Amino acid sequence: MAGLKNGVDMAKEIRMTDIAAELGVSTVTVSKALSGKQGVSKRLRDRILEKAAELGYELDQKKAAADFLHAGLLVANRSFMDPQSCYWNIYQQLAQAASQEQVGLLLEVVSPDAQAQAHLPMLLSAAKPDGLILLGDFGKKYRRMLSESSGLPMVWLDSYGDSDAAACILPNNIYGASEATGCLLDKGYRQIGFVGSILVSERIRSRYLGYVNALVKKNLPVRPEWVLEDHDADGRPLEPEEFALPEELPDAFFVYDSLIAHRFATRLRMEGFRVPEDIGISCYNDGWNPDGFPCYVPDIQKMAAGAMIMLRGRIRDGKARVGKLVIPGELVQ
Amino acid sequence: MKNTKPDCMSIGVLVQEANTADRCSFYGMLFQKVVLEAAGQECLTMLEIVPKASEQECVLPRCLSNEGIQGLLVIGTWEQPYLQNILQQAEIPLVLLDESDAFYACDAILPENYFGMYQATRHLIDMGHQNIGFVRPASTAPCVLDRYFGWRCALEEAGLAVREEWILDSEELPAGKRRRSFPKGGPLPTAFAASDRKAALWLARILEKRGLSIPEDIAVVSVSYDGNLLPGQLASYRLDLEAMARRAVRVLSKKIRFGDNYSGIRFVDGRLEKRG
Repeated sequence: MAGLKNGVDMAKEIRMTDIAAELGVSTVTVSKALSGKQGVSKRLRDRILEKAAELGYELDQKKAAADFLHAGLLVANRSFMDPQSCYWNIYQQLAQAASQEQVGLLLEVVSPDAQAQAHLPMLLSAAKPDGLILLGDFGKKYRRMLSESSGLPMVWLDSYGDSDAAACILPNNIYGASEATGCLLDKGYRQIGFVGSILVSERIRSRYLGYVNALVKKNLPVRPEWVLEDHDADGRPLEPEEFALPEELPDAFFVYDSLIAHRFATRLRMEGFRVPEDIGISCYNDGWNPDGFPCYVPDIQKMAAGAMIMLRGRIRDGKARVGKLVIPGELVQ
Repeated sequence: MKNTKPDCMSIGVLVQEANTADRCSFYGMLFQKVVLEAAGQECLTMLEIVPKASEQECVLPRCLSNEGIQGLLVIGTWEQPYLQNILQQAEIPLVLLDESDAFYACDAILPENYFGMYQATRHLIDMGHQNIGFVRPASTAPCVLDRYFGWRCALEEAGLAVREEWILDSEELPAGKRRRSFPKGGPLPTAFAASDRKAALWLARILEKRGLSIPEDIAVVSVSYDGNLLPGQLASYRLDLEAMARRAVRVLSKKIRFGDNYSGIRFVDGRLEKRG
C-alpha cells in the first residue's frame, strides 16, 4: 500500500521487497515462492517462507500480493495517433479488465523510432513487470528483440506474435471479413472492391483474405485495380481527398475498418456519388461506424478479458502452450 | 518513492467511466491527449476507469495502492467527497485536470472557460453589437458557469444590459425547472454567445426554423474544443486540449522529481479563432 498514508501502519508493514532485499533475491522470486508458483527451487522457497515468517509478513497480505500481477502493455504510437482508432477502444477495455483481474497494467507507447531501432522498452527497467501484453503490429525486428531480450511471458493481442507457439488473442479477421463481404453479395452486388493497404499490417492482410474468400466462394474474380490503398508509402493513413480511385469503379466496397470506411465514403460523396445508393459499403467495425454501414463487430471486451486470463496463465506456467485464441464477433446489418 | 530510473516515471491516470464512452467529447479527447503526452515525455501510464458507483461510494482508486505509481493525474469533474478522500489518502503527488473547484488545495490545470467566453463576447461588442444573448446547456458544471460569467462580465464592463429573457436553454432541463427557449415576441438580440459548439448548433437550427440567417440577422460566437467554425459563425474561442495535457504531465513530473510543492491553479490559454 505504498501510495497510502492512512489506514496502514507504514512502519510495521513488511513487503515482499523487504524479504527479497534480506535474502538478496528478486521480488518476483519472493512472489512466486509465497504463492507456490513454479520457477523457484524447493530450498530457496523454504528459505523465503522462513524469512517471511521471521519478519512477520502477514498471510492475507501475502495472498493479496501474490494474486496481484504487474503487467506491461506496449502499443505502437501510430496505432494511437487517431482519436477514433480501434486501439483506444481495446486499451480502455484492457484497463477495465486489468482492474477486475487484479492486474496493474502500465502502458508504454512505443515511438516509431524505438520501433525501427528495436529499443528495449522503458517498462522493463523501470517497472519490472511480471509479463507483457503487446497490442497491434510492431514489425518483425521489434518482435524478435522483445522475445529475445525481455525473457518475460507475453501475450499478443491482435497480431500473430513472434513464433508459432506465441500466445495470441485475435478477432475473427478472416471469417468476419468474409461475412461482411458476403453481406454485400447477398444484396446482389457482384463487382466488389477492397479498401486497405495489405502490406501495412497482418490485420489488414487477414481481412483482405476474408474478402477474397467470399468472392472465390461465389466464383467471382478478384480485380487488382479494385484493391485500393488506405495508407501512403510512409504508413500514414490517407485523408479522404488522398484516396486514389480507379477509372472504373465497382458497385460496392468492403473496407477493412469502419473508420476508414467513413473516410472512404466521404471521398466518394465528394466525387458526387451517393453512398450506399450508388456505391454500397460494408466493413469490419472496430468501434466507430457513424454511417451505420453493415459490419462485422469483434467482441473487444472478451478479447481484453481473454488477454488478462491468458497472461496470468503464462506467468503461472511459462511453458504452457496456450496457442491462439480467436474470439468470434457478430454481423450487424 | 520507488527507486526507478530518473528519466522514466510511472503515473496513474483517473477518468470517469462516463467520460470514456465518447472519445470525441471534451474529456474523451483530453484523456487521449494525456496518454499520448505522457508517452512523449517518457512516462508510463496506468489508466484507471472509475465507475459511477465507486465514485459515489468513495472507493479509493487501485493505482494508489500500487507501489510503482509515483504520481496521479485526475481528469474530470468529480463528486466532492470522492476527491477529498483521495487528497487525504494519497501520499504521492497529484494534479487535477479540469476540476475547477478552487476548494481543493491541490495543483489543478484548467481551460480558460471564463476568459475565453469573455473574449468571444468582447469580439461581438467590438463589432458593434449591443444586444447580446447567451445560450447555455442544461449542465450546471463549473465550466458552464464560468462561461456564463465570462459573457456577463463582458456585457457589464461595456455597460450593456444583461437581459434574462435572452438567456436561452439549448437542452431540456431536469424536471421542475422551466426551460427558456427562443423568445416568441418582443425585441431580439443582434447576437448570441453560445456556451459550446452543441449549444451553437442548437441555436443555428432554431434560427433557421424562424427564417433568420447567420450572420446577417444574428451573429454567433462560442467556446469550443474541436471542429471548425459553424457556417456563418463569427468567432470561437478554442480551448487547447493538447496544451492542457502537456501542462498537466509536466507539472506532475516536476512534482515527482523535485518534491510535492503546491503551487495552485494554472489556466491554459486557448485562442480566439475569427472568421476570415
